[in-house]
Amino acid sequence: MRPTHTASSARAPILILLIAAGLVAAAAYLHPVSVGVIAAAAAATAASVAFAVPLAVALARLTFEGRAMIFALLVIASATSPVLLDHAAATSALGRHIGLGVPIATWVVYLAARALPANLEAAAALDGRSALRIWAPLLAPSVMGAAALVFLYCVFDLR
Amino acid sequence: MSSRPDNLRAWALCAPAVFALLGLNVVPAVRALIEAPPRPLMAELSSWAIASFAVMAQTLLFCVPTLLFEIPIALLLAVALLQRRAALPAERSDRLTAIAAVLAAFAWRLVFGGAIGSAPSDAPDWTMAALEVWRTLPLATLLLFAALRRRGTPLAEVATLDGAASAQTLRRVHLPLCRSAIAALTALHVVDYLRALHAPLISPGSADRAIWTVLVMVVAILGFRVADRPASV
Repeated sequence: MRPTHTASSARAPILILLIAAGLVAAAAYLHPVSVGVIAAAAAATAASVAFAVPLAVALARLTFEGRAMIFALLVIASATSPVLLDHAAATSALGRHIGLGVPIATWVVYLAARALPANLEAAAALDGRSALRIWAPLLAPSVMGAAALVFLYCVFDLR
Repeated sequence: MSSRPDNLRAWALCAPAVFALLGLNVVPAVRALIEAPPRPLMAELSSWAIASFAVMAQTLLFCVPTLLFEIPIALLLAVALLQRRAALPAERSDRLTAIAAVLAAFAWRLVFGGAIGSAPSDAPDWTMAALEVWRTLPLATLLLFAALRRRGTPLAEVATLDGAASAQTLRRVHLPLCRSAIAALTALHVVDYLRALHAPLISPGSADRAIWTVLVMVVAILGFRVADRPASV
């Protein structure tokens, strides 16, 4: 049977970052961007991912009261993104990009977290490990993918 | 039933994102809805209804061919990616997934960000639908691939052992597994076309745009509720 996770798969996030950095460098060479744009995009991406990952993991892996309500809020927030609806006149550029980045990153990580086996946490508990240590390496590629998506959007939008 | 500490832990994880989504997305949208003037009078209402019907018809006219083109191509690409991934050793298959994700993200932003992929203003409607397929195909492939990743390969192997042809496997195994991703894709396309054809949807001073916003929310909620259902094969 094919192993679902190996130590070498920990290299996947680094590989994603390297590819994304190369693509951004190529795009920056073709269409020059300032350091300020890169810094602003990086800040919006970091904030979006920091907000989105805990939300996605909680929605995908935990059963709790109010989950349906938060899921409905996520759906409504996805449809009312400042970029989508152009009501961002009073919102800053950072807020505008976080408003789009959080739903996108949440959906990407949520789909990846849902695809993990259901009894993963129980197996981790039997081994005396915390669920976080099991989730982190398995979700890292999708988190990096979501970050690359949000970052590229921000760079192209700010350019 | 979840215990109280579990609830607290889950809410603590959700709280920052909930505040961000409320403050940046939902509250400004609701405020724009409240600030919109009252609905137009009856005489204006009929012209508004005709214009809205035209937008709805145009949205369907674009969405249906887009999805008819896009879903089969994206499904075939996702299945090919899945088979390629299954044939590789575990560490190389992870790299393949990572590369596919980044390239899809980059291609998606590149065609949306620049002048590449934009149609001339006098282009016929089918050209617009074809361009939309070209623009969103990487994202669609990745969505379908994510839906197939967990159970696609073992179920397809079982179907092949049972004597199913590849077309039957595609229709009876892969397509049902992708149902949630296809629903999400449909909702994204409907929202995107509504935005493109009637943008901006919300602006203080137009009641019809505010009503369209409610419609977009309903479409998105229905789409993502279907997307959240577990697939059955």
